[in-house]
Amino acid sequence: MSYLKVDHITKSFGNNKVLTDISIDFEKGEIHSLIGENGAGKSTLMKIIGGIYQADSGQILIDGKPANMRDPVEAYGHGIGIVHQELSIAGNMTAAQNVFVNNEPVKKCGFIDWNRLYADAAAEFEKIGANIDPKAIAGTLSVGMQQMIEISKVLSKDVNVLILDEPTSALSDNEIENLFRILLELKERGKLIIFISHKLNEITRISDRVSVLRDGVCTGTLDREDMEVQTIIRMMVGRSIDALYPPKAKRRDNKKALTIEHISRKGKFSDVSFDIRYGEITGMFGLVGAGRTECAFSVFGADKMDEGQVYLDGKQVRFKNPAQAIREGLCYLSEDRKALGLFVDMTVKENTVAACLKSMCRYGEFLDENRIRENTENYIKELDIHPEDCRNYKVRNLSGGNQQKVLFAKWLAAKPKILIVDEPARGVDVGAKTMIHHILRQLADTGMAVWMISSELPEILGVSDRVIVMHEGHCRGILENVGLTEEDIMRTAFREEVRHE
Amino acid sequence: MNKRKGILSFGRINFHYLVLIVMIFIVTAAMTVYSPYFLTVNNLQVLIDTFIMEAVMALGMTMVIISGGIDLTVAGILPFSSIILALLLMREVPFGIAAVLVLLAAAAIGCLTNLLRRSLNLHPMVVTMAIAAVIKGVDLTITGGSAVSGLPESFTRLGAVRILGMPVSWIVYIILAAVFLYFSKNNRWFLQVFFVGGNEDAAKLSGIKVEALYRNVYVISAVLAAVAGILTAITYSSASYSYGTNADLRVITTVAIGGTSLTHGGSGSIAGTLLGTLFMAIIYNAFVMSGISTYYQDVVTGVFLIAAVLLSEGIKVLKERKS
Amino acid sequence: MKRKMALGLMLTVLAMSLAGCGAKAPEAADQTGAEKSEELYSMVVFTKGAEYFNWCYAGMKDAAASIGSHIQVELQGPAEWDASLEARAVDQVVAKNPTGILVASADETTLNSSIQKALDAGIPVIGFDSDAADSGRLAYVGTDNYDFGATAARSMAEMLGGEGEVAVCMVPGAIAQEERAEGFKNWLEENAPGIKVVSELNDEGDVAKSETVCTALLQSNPNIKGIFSTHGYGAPGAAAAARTLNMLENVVIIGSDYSSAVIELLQSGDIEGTVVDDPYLIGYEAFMLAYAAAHPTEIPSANPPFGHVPPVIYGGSQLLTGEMLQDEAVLAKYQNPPAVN
Repeated sequence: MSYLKVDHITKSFGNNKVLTDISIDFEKGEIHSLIGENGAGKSTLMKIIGGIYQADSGQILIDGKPANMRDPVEAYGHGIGIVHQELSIAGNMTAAQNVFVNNEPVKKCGFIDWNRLYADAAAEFEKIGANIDPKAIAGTLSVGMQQMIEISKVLSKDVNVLILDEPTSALSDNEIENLFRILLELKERGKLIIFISHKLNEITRISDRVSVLRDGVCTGTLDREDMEVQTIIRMMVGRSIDALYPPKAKRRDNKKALTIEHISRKGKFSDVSFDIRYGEITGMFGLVGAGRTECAFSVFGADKMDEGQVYLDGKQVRFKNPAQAIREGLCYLSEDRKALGLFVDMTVKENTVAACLKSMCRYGEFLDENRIRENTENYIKELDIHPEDCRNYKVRNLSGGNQQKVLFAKWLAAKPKILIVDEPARGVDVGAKTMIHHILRQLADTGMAVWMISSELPEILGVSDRVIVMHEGHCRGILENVGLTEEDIMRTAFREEVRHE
Repeated sequence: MNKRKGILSFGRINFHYLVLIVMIFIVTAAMTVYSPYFLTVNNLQVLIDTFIMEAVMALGMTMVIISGGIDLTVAGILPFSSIILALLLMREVPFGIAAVLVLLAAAAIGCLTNLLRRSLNLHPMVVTMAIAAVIKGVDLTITGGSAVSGLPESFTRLGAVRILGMPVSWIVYIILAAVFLYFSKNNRWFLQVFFVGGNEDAAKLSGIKVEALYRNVYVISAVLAAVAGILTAITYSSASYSYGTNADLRVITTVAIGGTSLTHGGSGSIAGTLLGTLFMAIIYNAFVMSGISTYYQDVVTGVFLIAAVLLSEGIKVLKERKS
Repeated sequence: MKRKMALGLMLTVLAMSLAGCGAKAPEAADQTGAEKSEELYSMVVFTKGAEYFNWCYAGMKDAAASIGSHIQVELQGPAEWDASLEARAVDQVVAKNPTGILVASADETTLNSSIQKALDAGIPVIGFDSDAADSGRLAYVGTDNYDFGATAARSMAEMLGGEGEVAVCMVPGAIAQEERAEGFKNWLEENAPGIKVVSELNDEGDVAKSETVCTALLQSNPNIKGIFSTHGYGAPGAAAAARTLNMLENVVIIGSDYSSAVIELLQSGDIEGTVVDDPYLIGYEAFMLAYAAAHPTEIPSANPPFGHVPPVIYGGSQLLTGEMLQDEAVLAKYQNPPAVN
């Protein structure tokens, strides 16, 4: 007899059927993962379990009894708590205040008992082994820490079911390790953990069981021993993806596009030297805080550079702003597509011309509507952006993978010679991810120099021709990707630490 | 369904426009039934005359609001420019030179606004409110609170000039509105304003020179306020500290009724502002025609504003839900 | 379908709110004479909603009612002090083709062209309270500020028994106040040579500033026996200064105009009196002139085709004292200003 049972749940938004007759059993003391491409209905299902949406038909059973949850408060009453993908941390308040938001311990007279608030918060952090100062201002903590706060907030309400929606997408590897440790502990304590993720390796590592959703239908639940990546992928996309990663560069003439010598930026990175070559993908690996994005920002002109030289095609350059860099054919595709990349409330068409407005003009400053439409249609076709007639859709209404493709379209339209891509496949589903990797390879094959920043080792190994390893603001090595393993890269990253031991 | 009232999708039927047109039609019909004087040539002229200054300023304000800001200095710049113009004219400076000097002064104020906004990193609401207060203080000090009059005959005659039967202010507005409408449809710089308003950081990384763009929108807004000030001086052959009181609020209301979002930048349109201007001009005239109490005028304006937003937003939501 | 319903609903609401506005038509005076053709008179003011203008409008309404129910009146104008907005309001009123217009001008020149347009359209315009002398308006009804100052001087002389040193608190440069001060000083010079105006203070028209300058004055010159303020905020400031220095008994304070603060100080006796003009009467007479101008008689007119009207009428001013406020009816008048809707 299962603890939490989702029983024949169906849900539509308007004419759009999001979930069709979903039934899944969840047991206490298990980590049960939920996987599926974007738009498969994972989040909707979780929101129904969490009381945020109501199912059109079907029911949720807890301990065999139907549980009627009309809002998140009632869900908490049934012991169900959700940590959402977008954290709801109040950045200017303390960690403790965030844990007990709207649930503060009060004295008899109704005033907040501050001493108890901080003591209780410390106890909650202790429980999950998080080393957080309850009085720290939440906004100053790392995303990983903020997530711990969010988890503590949910656990402080004494829940039996903890739902985590894409918890690892913004975390560094260390933080992910820490999170997994906590989840395993909670599982030992008999909690049910429902874990939603895109990352197959995480799921296979941590889950006891995994349920796969495809287009609003549950295509099956696998036990631990049946969990194979190829099987899961087939269940997710309805076909197996043979080549997860594209082939390596066919022809390498080692022509340098960008040569970077001894560049430094105080407090971010120092004395970094490397080069980026035409026709190949140079991966730049580093954990969060290694200074990769900062380094790209400085080269791109989005931030200052204190020291060092940058040569583009052998000519020394020092870009004062991104506009100059773009004019010289250097483009930067941001890791944070919503905050730094896309204009989500504007149309696909407008987004795709954002970085190449000049080339869309005639008579000087006047935009040529036909050229813009043509440009957009080309990229929609070329990058297979869905739906096909999305030209006038707001970007906000596209799925994550398609948003990322729009971001690619925006930069490709600027006709770069050198393309910096920062975490190009973050937060997109496995199909789109493969597609993006293949696009990168195609671009390199046409002669473009691609500089790919990533903190995902499989991606680095699967896509790059050479790997630059960054760690704590320093370049720790440049490796040819021939027979390279994850261990090789990690060993290079921690070279200094190893030497000192 | 996900179509957006945007610069590039101007040709498409926009629901907000439809709502405004229907509202304009209803008010016009109701007023025509109510008052025999409403639909007369004389009143229609007055109707346009009474809102033309706000109409001019609304063009610039639309750009500021789309860029994610707001500009309250217009209420100070309007009287300021009328006064400076009058004082220059009384010192026998030719009108052309005086007008250019006034416009340059306004442009300088626009630059100052942006400089303070940027260097103090303050919300434009705060910065422009402070600058407006300072300018108002300067206006008061210069004039001592009384109207500047006794302007040269050659200037006061401008108020009576008719070109194709239209006063100077109409001609200026028609030219400005046409230019803004055409530019808003396909000018590169106008589209950049939308990008900056929609996502400043992304715009910066897309190679848009954000700071120059902010400066330009505030300069345009300030210069248009100065144009309104000059037109006011022409129309009334005087200049006074009292001109333009609360004009900022009327202008912002006009822009908002036109469908430009005050809550987040990056959405809005000049075409919407033109319709909003027409609508506001009609209801201000309807207030006087119907003799409705002052105390209800603000309420009615508010009701119309909410109605316009609710209608277009509400129906957009309904449509999206259906799809 | 839903969409159409929502649209229909909103349109109905809009139409109804508009009909509601329409129902608030100009107010008809409740008298006989319905068979006569209707006439509309518009009063245009700046800072519509100000108590002073509400009194003017109350006078206008009563005057209209005394002529007949075919006379309709309305109050128009911006709520802000903005001369250009008021000029637009006059333009809009002219488009309604009223029988006559009463205007209090926000400044002396801005309304000129709008007033001229009204006259050109055959609509008589009467100025009241604040004059636009060069606008061509047929007549002006208001307050003679010189006489206003003389009224204060006469009361001051009576209260002091014709002897003593006095001061004037004012804002130099403001024309109405200069005239009041002038009238005050000249009357004393001619009629009460025992009273000397030894000091003229600039209090910037502000209560706190007035208290500061009066405190300094009373400390440096304890012989001061009287203070006259030419505006509404001077007397409360002077009273506060005298109270602090414990000199209330020794100093006669006469203010100008009234407010709830002044009324209280009059009742408590801290202020001996305040000179007030009569906005009700001004509104009443201004309307009567407009009516006369719109209905020419046999008497030859200085402004044909309009009927004959005198160029200037002053409504007069009087002293209001604490004693007078003991009369319930008088007090009620000052405490319950007319509401205008």
